[in-house]
Amino acid sequence: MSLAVEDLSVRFAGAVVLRGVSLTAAIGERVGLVGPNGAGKTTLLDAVGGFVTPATGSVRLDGRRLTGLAPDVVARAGVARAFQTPRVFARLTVEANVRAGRALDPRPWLAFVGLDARRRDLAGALTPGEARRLELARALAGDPRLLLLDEPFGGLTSAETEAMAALVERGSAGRTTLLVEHKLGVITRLCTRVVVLHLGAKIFDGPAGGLRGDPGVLAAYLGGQSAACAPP
Amino acid sequence: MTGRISFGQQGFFVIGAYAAGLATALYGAPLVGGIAVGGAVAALGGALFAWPMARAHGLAFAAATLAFGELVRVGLLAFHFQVPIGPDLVGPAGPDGFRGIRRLFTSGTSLDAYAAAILGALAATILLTATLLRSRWGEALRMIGEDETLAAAAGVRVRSLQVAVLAGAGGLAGIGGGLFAHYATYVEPGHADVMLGVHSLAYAFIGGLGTPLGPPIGVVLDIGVLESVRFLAGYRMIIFGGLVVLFLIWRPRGLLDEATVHRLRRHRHPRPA
Repeated sequence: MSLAVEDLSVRFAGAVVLRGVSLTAAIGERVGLVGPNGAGKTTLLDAVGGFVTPATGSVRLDGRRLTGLAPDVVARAGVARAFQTPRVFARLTVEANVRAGRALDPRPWLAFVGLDARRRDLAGALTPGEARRLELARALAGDPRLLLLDEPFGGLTSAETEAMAALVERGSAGRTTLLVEHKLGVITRLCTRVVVLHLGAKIFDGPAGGLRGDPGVLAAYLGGQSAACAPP
Repeated sequence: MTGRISFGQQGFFVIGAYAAGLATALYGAPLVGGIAVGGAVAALGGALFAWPMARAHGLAFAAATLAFGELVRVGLLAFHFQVPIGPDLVGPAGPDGFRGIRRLFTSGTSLDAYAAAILGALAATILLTATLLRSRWGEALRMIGEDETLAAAAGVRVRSLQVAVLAGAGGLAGIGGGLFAHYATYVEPGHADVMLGVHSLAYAFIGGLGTPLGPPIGVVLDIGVLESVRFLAGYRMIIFGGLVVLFLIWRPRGLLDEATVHRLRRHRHPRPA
């Protein structure tokens, strides 16, 4: 097993935002993480990436305990992160963003995401769609074992979403991936398994195909009474 | 460079000045050795300050550096360590400062040679900064300056680099202090006045943040304007304050910021058609 999250709880100022969540992901497996706003998806990625210290539980990657380590240590352990709002180093060039202080050649990754022509531009001049691709290139350039992608299709047009989905599919091949996304079509296309969070707790963990018929998931998305209205 | 604003550089400047003076005047160190000791002690001070403060950001960090500068100034007011050398008592004497730092004048070094050495040190600093900024380490420092969380997510050793930068900045200020103390032959707690820290910040804000030539340009503009309106006496500080405010509104990252340098580079090496 590549990623093992056990009994993870996170509290912010007394409020419990993640309640004893456990999940596993095999090497190379893409796991979709879905749920309504406020379900705790980003907090789970933050806890795995070391940006939040959990109150209980543990995170292990290939057997190595990551819980309590600083984010830069977690990153060097093989975890790469793309954020919900695209974040780039605006005052650095596009190629410097991909290199990110590491001894690597950024050009293959820029070619991969189609930004090679813009490699010497400042990243602050990129469009939001280009910034998303740059984030993906930076995440992949470190050859991570675990990819944490937080809504990488947010704000993209249909065509851009299609192109980005193809990039995620190719780029994450062979890497364990946690993919947070609201667009269920993309999730079912890219992920073999889906975990649903609701109010900080895990309410579903199974194949992507079983998502739409699960009464608990329908209730979480559509309200408590809606499960009864769900098609058989 | 790393996005932290320090109001305490004057503290490192004076630590370097006192340490260099002690090394040459009391312990007979050669001029260059004494100034190097001043830089090393100030760098150590920077590292010791940085380690617990590395997690502080924005206003908290700025306030802590201001407190550090004042702590150094007040501490030196109480620092007495005089020893008899010949007919004189030499060494720090609290509010009276540290007089008799005469190694420059007893070593036979001419003032012209000393001025050339100071210019050489400035050129070396600019060259070192330019080389650093072009390196992977410089890239990492600029990443920290722009977005610390994102830099950490990319695996940059944020805390270690912040400590290294503060130690380096302290060391440079300390070398400056040592050079000043040996030229002036004395240094006093008043040299750690907060206005020196404010000016050192203004140099970067006026000249340009994140570029090696920015702060020297800021020094020329700041000192040039202040000296050219000396007839206004105390009122010239209003001009200094106004200049800083204008720059903060008009060019918040100074005259020669990273974007301007990037544009100049692109102008020299246009994108192939």
